Amino acid sequence: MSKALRAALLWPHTWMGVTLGGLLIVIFFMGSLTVFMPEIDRWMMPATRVAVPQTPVSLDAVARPLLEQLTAQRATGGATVRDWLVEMPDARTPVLQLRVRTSAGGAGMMATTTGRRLPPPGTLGASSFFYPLHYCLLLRPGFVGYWIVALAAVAMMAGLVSGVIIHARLFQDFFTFRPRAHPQRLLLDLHNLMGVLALPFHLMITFSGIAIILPVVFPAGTTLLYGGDMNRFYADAIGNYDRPAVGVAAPLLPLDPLVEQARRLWSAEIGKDVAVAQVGVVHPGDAGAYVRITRVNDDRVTLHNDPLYFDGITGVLLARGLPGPVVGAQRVIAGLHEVRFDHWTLRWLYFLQGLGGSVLIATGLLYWLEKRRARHGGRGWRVVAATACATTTGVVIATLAMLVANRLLPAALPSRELAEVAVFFLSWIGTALHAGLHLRWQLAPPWRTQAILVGGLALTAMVANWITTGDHPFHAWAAGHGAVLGVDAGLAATALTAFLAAWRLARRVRTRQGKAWGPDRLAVVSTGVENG
Amino acid sequence: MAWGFGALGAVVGARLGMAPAESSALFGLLALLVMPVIALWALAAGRVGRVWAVLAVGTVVQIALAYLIRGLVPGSGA
Repeated sequence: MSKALRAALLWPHTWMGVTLGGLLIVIFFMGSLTVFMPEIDRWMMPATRVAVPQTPVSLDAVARPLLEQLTAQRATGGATVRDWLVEMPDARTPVLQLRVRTSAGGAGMMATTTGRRLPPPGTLGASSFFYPLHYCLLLRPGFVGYWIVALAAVAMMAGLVSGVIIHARLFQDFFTFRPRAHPQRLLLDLHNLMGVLALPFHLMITFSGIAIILPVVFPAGTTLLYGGDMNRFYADAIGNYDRPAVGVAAPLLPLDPLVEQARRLWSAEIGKDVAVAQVGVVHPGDAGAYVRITRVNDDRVTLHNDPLYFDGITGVLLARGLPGPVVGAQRVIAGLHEVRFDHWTLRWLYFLQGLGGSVLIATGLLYWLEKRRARHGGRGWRVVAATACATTTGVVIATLAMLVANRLLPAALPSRELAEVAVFFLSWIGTALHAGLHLRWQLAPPWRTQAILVGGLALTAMVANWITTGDHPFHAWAAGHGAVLGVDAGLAATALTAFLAAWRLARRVRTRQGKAWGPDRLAVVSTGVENG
Repeated sequence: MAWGFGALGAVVGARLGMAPAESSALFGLLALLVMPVIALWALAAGRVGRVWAVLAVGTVVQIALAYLIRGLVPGSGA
């Protein structure tokens, strides 16, 4: 690569990192947590820590009475039922999740496979908070959040490509990690190391992430060929079937035989048992009712869940959703991102490389800060430094504070789930303010204080779980609550890493102060080396 | 520019006999690959005038062509 090209690409690489780095760190961190979303959900929703069902669940005996209860609650005053949805239990989510939508609104509940209705969880959990924070920043109206995340992801791809070009000795530097070097050198070494080590993963994960929401954020083709009608595009693309309600009452067929028929059909094609993921009934109780059954994708990469559509009155197979080759390939790319396949080693690799993405961006950002600390240190630099602090240690503190709140807020607290969300955002804002105030007096973000806070909160969350649920590691092990054990182990590892980092930062400050004061006591200690 | 590429590709693909959904998905994915390359070139190029000329003219031409060709695609959502 020519020197001119490297020089030309340096500033877009730098400025994309400085302006969008914080956002990308949050996206990567939340995405990494999402890999273990069902496990974090079990931790945050203790009522769902039930035994994994060993036999298939009867929808007619277990789910249907509960769905009818929900329907009776919601469909009052002449409201009509639109659909029912049942998410079947599996090894990672051992409960039934039921949802009813009516013209007067929706309602949902969770139940055990024996039909015991579980209390409302009082939390959004990882699946309804960390996950949407990852892909749309919780900004759903007008798809604003999707656009922002997609823009950041395109910048990430551009940053990866430009990073490969501008680092002239990229592969040599990969083997040069000097953990005891000067902070600037150490940060650049770590940035290069993470960049090369996980480059294929980071390229794949950013590309596949946008590919999932491509029709939403890049509707160039659908605008022209479908007049912007997304439903018509999806109906065409993945073979969705739909028909209107007739307005004539008719009894719905038993669902278990239809589920059995769907399983037989899939199994005959691939020669092994296939589990059912979801069963949906559209227009239940109407002569136009139909049943949509989808399969679990634990044995393959694609996200295409092979939906089968049955007539709800006669049981006739109406349609099967089969995408064409390009949409099929897009579903595989999407599957690479969402890692729904059952492979624990790969899940851990996704998790670690996702965190590696956060480290890659954070080290780039911190390198930029370190390089300019001595030269600038003005208001602009302090704003970037405070933002960097809030998006690195700050987001970890906010997440852990939410987990602590999840275990300590009273179960009867009204809108408990919103109180947890408030704790998350207030803690996050708090870390930014703390960093901002600290930087008014000292020329370095408060890494050590925030690292101690991370460690303290991780330990508190772990202990609070043991006290409030009785699920300490020995109990969790004995009861087969592997998810709880795993999350507690993750919290313990976080605490250990954070305390170790705080100790190393303190030692570095002491060493520098010692050098500065020296035997002749002539040097003046710079406040710039203080790490909070 | 990438939007124009995606739109033009989708209608040309549909005109050549691809299913509209397939064509939209294919050129959407290809445009996604083109986008960071264009972005890097635009940010790194020396002459801002040339960047604007290529981006503006390229976009307008591609989108205009896409709308023209869309009229020839049977059953398009126009």
